[in-house]
Amino acid sequence: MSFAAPGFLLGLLLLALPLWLHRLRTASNQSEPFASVRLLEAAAQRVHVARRIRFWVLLLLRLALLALAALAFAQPLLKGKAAVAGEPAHWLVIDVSASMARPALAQAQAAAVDAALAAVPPGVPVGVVAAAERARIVSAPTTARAQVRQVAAELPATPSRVDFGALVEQLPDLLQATDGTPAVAYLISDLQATAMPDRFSRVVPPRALTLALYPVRGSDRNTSIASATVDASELVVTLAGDTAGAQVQVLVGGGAAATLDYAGGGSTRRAELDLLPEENRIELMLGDSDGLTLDNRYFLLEDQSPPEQVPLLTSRGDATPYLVSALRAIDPDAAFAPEPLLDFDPRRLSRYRWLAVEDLGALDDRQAQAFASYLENGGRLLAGAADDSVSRSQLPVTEQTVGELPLTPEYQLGGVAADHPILADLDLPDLLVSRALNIQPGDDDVPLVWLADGRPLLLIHQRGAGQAIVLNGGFGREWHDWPLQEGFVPLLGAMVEQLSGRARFEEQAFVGQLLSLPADGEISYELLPPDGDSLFGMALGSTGVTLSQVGFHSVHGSDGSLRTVAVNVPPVESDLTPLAPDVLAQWEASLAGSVAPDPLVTATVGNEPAPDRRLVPLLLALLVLAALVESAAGNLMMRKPV
Amino acid sequence: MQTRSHLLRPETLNAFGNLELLARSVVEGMLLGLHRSPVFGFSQEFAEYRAYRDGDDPRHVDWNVFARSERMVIKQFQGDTNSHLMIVLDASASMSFGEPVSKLDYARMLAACLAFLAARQHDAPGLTVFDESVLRYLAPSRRPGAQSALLATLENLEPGQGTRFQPALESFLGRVGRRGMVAVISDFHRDPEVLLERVQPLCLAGHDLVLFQVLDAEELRPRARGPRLLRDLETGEAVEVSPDFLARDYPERIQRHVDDLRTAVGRAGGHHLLLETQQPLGPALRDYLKFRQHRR
Repeated sequence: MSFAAPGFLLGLLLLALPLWLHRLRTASNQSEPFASVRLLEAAAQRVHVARRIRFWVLLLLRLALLALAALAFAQPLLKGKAAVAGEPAHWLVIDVSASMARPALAQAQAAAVDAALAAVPPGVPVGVVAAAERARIVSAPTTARAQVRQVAAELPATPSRVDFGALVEQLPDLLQATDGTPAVAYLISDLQATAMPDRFSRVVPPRALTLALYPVRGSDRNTSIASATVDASELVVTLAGDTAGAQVQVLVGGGAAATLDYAGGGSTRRAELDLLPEENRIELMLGDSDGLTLDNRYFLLEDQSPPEQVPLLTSRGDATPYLVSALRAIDPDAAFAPEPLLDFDPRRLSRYRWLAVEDLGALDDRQAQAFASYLENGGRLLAGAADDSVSRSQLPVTEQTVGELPLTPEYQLGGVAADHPILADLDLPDLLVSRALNIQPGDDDVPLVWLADGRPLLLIHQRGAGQAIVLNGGFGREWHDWPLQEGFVPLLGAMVEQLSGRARFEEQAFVGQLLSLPADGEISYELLPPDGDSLFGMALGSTGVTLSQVGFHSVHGSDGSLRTVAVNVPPVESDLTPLAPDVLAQWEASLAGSVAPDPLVTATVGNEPAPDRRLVPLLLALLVLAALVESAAGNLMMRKPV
Repeated sequence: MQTRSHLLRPETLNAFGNLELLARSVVEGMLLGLHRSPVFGFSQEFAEYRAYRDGDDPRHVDWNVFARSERMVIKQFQGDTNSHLMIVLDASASMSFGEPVSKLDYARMLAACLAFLAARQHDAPGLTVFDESVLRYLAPSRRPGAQSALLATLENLEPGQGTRFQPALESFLGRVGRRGMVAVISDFHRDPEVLLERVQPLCLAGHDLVLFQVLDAEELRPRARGPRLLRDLETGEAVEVSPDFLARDYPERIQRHVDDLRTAVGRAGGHHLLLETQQPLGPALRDYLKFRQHRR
């Protein structure tokens, strides 16, 4: 017996109420003769719990009333005649990874489903779980076998991969399998060798989960695109598997660009493409020469956009070599152009997403005003403050006060804001600082690194929609030896990334992969998959989104940026080689206590157990009857003279 | 067996079925005990001489003394009183209380013993049975048939209704002119001061008054296992009492009531004896005799 609403069974606790009430006495109803009550004093009206229960018949009727009401609300279902009481929950766990998309597997899969269902005791409900990158329940347990078969047959394969280790780890929680409520899972899968984890122990389920394997066999012949790269304008495509007679159509921006013919042996072909100076979307289509078509499309992104121009405005020129070399180490394609500050026309500022200034103190008033306006409107600035700023009482643009040096200046590192994205992944070197300005941070400034006496060494200044990163002492080696340190380039890279808004996107990804997006506290992103139906917002703090479709995904940043991510089928899914027999035997041997599967057993279709029988009408009838008898008995017994 | 019958428990005596036999057994057993007592000598024994007065029975003149001294003296014997004992017995409904011997049964046996003892002492026993009114009245008499009538009356007693002392006592005072002993047997569930007003006229009339207060153990120490609804046997009033009250307050109250009653009777010049229905009758009779002896 099961209950549709078992929570109402808590109502059975009310049974204690009549038990208690029947022992209550507000007065002793059976008087005893006594010589004289003259010296007695009437007790205050009080409730006594009698030692004995009175009115047994009435009590039993009332208990029955409450129990019937609670049971009626809980809606008990009486299992069919073939139902087996105390059976654990049974689940068909069907592999829906990309490799299961082979049409030839459909029949074998249906046979495996039948075999698994035949192993389930009659009348026991069976649920369906789809297993891919993550497992999910697609059908709650039901005794209707036909429904289970239909759900299993209509379950589409996905372009994602399955990992048996991760699957076995997920199932106990998903199926709520505990020692108290065990579960039985029938894994129906092509049992790819690539789906096995590195450690075999991960595929051994906990005691509460009984796992049975139902291999689905089919042809393992497959051809797939193993890799595709673009070098300048040359496309290099390498196939895996049987390449004989294979052809790859190359589309660029949706238009046919080339055809790669693999006749004549070899797995690699090259083609010269006519790419535009922008982000090129290249789609490769492998001819339908095998059973698995899901991995026959490959998406490639090639950004041929011209390098971004970033002026490096110098004054003395001392820091220029270090800054330029570091920036070029970060992005060789970027056009970092040193330019004397005196020659820079501030009207050009609006052309640049960000730019660098060797020393803020070198800006004259007109330039300072223009740079401040530039920041107000969202501009980004990487600036040093060194020799040219010494004579300033206030730094231009950032308007931070430069105070007198402390009486006892400290040149040891005082602390770092290690949780800031710029410093998050960096190991700060043991800096040797010889000079530093006494910059007084404003309310909106965020010091990232500071000396022991509190003077900031590196800070972020927010102004309007823009920001400036100021390095106290500049980018040369006269004030400190940071530019000489190994960590200077990664630090500069993090700062450039922060200023340019160029998130570290993976341009190529696979289905099932978590696309992580940088969260710098200001920019949020939205992911638009190829089907255009889904839009995922990723705000600050989100770790990313799991990719579920193949194709070109657009990532829109709140700063107006647009990136593209090409997502493909995980290459491990293209390797259809099944588990080696010895590995499979070892796995099955480890599943001690599992139900004995016999894939050859054919389930008897149509021999469904009797449907669950609802007991509510019967309970309601008994409830009414009990109420009538209770009423009559109550009247009869309560009228008894004391 | 006969010598110990005065010590038999009331439930045993109650099974005798013959009050005369019961009274004889109890009283004679008790008297035999008293003979052996160094304190109390009670029999037709010589007590003292006194001068002859007009009206004295010439049979009691000690002629030997007269022969030697020519003085006429009377030989005085213990127990030779020529008095009377009026037993006033409460037969109200409350006296039917008590297990296994009801207070009325106990009172019935006590009255029979007192009557038998009085006859042995040449006192004339009488009986007044009352509840709210006088149910039976037997005038004090030493005639042989009177004792049988008294015992028969006692044997046929049934519990009556409520309790009113005034009609019984007034009736007795109106009928008996001579002074004597008055034994009132009751549970005395009345206000001691009111009772004092009722019995005081007896003492003022020169009667020696003794109150036998017969109570059951359940009245003195009631069970307190749970709340009880107790119904008054006379009024029918029911009172719900808590076990705490029965265990602590009520015993104190009943004891105070007994003490107050004893004090009130003492103020009137009477004597009070508390008897539990579980007690043997002998000690009660001994107390009575002690009281009677002191009064002489």
